[in-house]
Amino acid sequence: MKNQFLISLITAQLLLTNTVFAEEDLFDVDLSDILSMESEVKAELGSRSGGQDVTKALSPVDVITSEQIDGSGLTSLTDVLRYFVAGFNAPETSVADGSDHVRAFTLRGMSPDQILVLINGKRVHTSSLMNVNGTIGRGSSNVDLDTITLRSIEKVEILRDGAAAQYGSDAIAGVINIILKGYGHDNSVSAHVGSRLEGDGKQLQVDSFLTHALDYDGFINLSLEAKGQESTQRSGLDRRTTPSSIHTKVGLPESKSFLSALSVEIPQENGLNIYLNGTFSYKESLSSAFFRAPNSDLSIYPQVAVDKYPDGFLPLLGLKNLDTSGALGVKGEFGDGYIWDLSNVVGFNNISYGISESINYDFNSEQSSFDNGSSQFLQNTTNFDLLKIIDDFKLAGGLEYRYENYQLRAGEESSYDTAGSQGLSGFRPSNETDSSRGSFALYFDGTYDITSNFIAEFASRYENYSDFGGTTNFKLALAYNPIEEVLLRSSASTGFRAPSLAQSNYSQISSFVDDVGLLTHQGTFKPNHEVSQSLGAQDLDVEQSQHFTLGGLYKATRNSIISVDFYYALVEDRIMLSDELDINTALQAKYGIDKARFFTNAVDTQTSGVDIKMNHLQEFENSSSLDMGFWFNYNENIVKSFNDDNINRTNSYEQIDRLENGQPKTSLKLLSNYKIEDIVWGVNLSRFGEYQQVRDDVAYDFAARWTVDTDLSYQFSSSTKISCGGINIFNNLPNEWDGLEGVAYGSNGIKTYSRYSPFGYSGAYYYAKVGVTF
Amino acid sequence: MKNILSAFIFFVFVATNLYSYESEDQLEVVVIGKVSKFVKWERDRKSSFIITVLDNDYGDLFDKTYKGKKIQNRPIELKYINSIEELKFTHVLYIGHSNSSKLQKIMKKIKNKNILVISKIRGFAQKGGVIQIAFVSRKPKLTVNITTAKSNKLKVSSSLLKISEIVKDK
Repeated sequence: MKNQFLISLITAQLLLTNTVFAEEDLFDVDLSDILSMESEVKAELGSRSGGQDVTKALSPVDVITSEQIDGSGLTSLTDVLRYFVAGFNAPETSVADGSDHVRAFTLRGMSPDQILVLINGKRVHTSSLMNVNGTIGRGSSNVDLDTITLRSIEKVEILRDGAAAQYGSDAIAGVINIILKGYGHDNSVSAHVGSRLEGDGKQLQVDSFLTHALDYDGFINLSLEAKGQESTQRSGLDRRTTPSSIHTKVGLPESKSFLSALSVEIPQENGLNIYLNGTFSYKESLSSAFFRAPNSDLSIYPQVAVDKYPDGFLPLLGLKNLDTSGALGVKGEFGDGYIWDLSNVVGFNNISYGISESINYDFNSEQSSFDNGSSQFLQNTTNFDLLKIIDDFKLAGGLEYRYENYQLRAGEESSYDTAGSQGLSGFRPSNETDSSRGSFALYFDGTYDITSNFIAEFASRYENYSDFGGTTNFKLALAYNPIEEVLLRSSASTGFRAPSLAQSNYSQISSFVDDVGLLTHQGTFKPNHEVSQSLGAQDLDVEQSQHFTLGGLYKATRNSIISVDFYYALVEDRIMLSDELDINTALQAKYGIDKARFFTNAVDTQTSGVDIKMNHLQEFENSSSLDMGFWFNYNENIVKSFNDDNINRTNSYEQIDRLENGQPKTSLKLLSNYKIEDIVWGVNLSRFGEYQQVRDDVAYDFAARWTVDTDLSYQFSSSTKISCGGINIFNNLPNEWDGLEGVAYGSNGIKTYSRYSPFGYSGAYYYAKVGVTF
Repeated sequence: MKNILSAFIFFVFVATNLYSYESEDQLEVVVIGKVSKFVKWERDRKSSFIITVLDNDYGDLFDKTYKGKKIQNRPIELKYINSIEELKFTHVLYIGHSNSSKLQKIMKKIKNKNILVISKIRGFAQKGGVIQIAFVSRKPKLTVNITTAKSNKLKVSSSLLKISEIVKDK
């Protein structure tokens, strides 16, 4: 297999390199044909000096266009990135509390909160959800990408480099910039219906894009989307029941969502441009905890439970997730070409947690549904940016003030008192928090054309947080064209990530039955809490990072591009949620808990790897064309060292292996899109590399898998397009646990697949869709 | 499966007859000359076809594109100026996008002159320009202000109007 792959690749490259290309003079081409040509792909990311051709970018930037998104059949932004970007990972977890509902995602295997997300170049707020279970992304809060309707997106830019010196905190693994549609698009409506091969997981989505043109190429764009998603069920038999049967919901959660996005630009005759954009998302989703099986041991399944649920019960966790953001700004120019931009962006997320079909064993046993409290995050960012081009210099700079507020609200008493509601205990009054902070930043970004083929960029950013002080970061990037077709590029930068307010202030006490059947209370405490302090916790500090990239790009022909980029990142003081630790008996008695955990600057990690990309567009004589892409990513994460204070608190095999081996080290994408007249056929092949998951101090291997996605569309009339296709059409599933045979986790258990599976385990999905433009 | 994959990889990277992605700058520069073929000027007896570029943002791209070329059967003559005060007779005036803030002043200076004024500046067609070039979803798009064209005494061919968006002064 490996040999065939390499031979094909090498042969193809040799042929490609030796082909002579006849280039038609553009001036001789009909104007109407020129108007149908696509120009190069441009990206705003990577430099504050304006949009740039991605093939001339100083740092590697990738762009996913709305055309690619439309031709994919995917209905969420997280899935779009997972299927188009090698090294982007977004597992689908289940029976992991809130993490089932807000998809965590990673780039280069780093933490979900080490990716900065922007909309139209402005920072996006994270979700208020904290991932506290043993999932990829444990101990982090990430931006909820699925709150942004795909219909509103013009393109998604991905910067694969550290960029905290340019954009501030979080830009460690990379930056994702979502560009909303602007002027000149058609109105459209579309409907999508689909189902999993097994008949569940049905999905229905209707969306629309409505636009109204204003003077001077201004616009009002409104995107609306409503989606219903049925759950999938991939649970194994529960051997605790007689006969063994399926109870726990293992698979995608059931959900209903409404999303909208507004994008407005009102250019004035004098050159001022007032802009406004915003997103609104509301989603209700439902997943389950593990089934509570009747048990003769009353310490595990007490009499009140026997009386209420004689056949056992399945607690259902419902989330109500409200997420909204709004940006208002004005851009203009003064003096001799000074371009300025003043903006304010507000982002808000509120998640309410509720449990139904449950019971609190020690409270009012009649009660089945519980309000478990809520989490909330608010972020307000004000920016003033300035750009000036002076001959070969492009100089940009600005100021930023950001305010953040994080809140936890307690649930009703019955949700947390004594044993708490089964499935998920509510937040207690002692967990409540209303924490705020501010940060101020001053930044500069300059690009200088040293010669016509040698460009240097220098960026620096000073940022001061009210809760832990200041940090200054730098970036130097160089690009050199030894010949027109070749670009060599390299960058070195420092970066940082401020501890999130959630990491500094999250706390919760949960109750569960441990491995030997005892009811156990476990607390997550703030680092400054006496329980954490008793375990050696210290106030959180910033994560600091250093980045190096070295690579190049070769335009083999005018439409064939090959790029190779190596990268290395060292993150110091990476924040982790500690292991579950034993505490002294006095504190056990005082807080009614058996174990405790807290956030801490735990480890130094090293990330290194390479991205190899090839893109090619071929036109055939019958006017058809084939657009192709190849993207291979090799990535390795290593825990370099532990902070001395935490050596015994975060070094469990499970935690370390999750960082080092829990995500694929290799990822391959082969993308193709064939167009002939009114037909477009896309085929995408993905290879997700091997990964591991540790259970009870034993590492289990999960093999690499290929998936194939396809989309076939037909332009039925000038306004109507119909499509059908499938995701993972050959229903490739991850392998089951090999050698693990537990009741909950194991090849013959409830969860037969690893929750780390990079492409889920719900199997093939087939769909049909229709779109009308007007 | 192995054979399918190998065939796919082979197919993906074997190229024969190629089609190119042009840069936005290149497409814009060539469109300036192409649209000129669809326009007639009043009392036009010049032996060469003159394109004047106000604030050239594109290095030698104009020279490379128009070297040895003809428009309306006349050789193309390129002139570069850095101020509207330097403008002399021209068929086409291309206004570089760095002139956005000075546009009102520039347009006042050339109002009603028999010049085909072209730019990529946002809203240009509604700000007194004749032809605006914009890029929507990476494709060039033309907007023609027929009121300005008329006041500049230019006759724009119907075949150009068919493939352009048309605006009129209010």
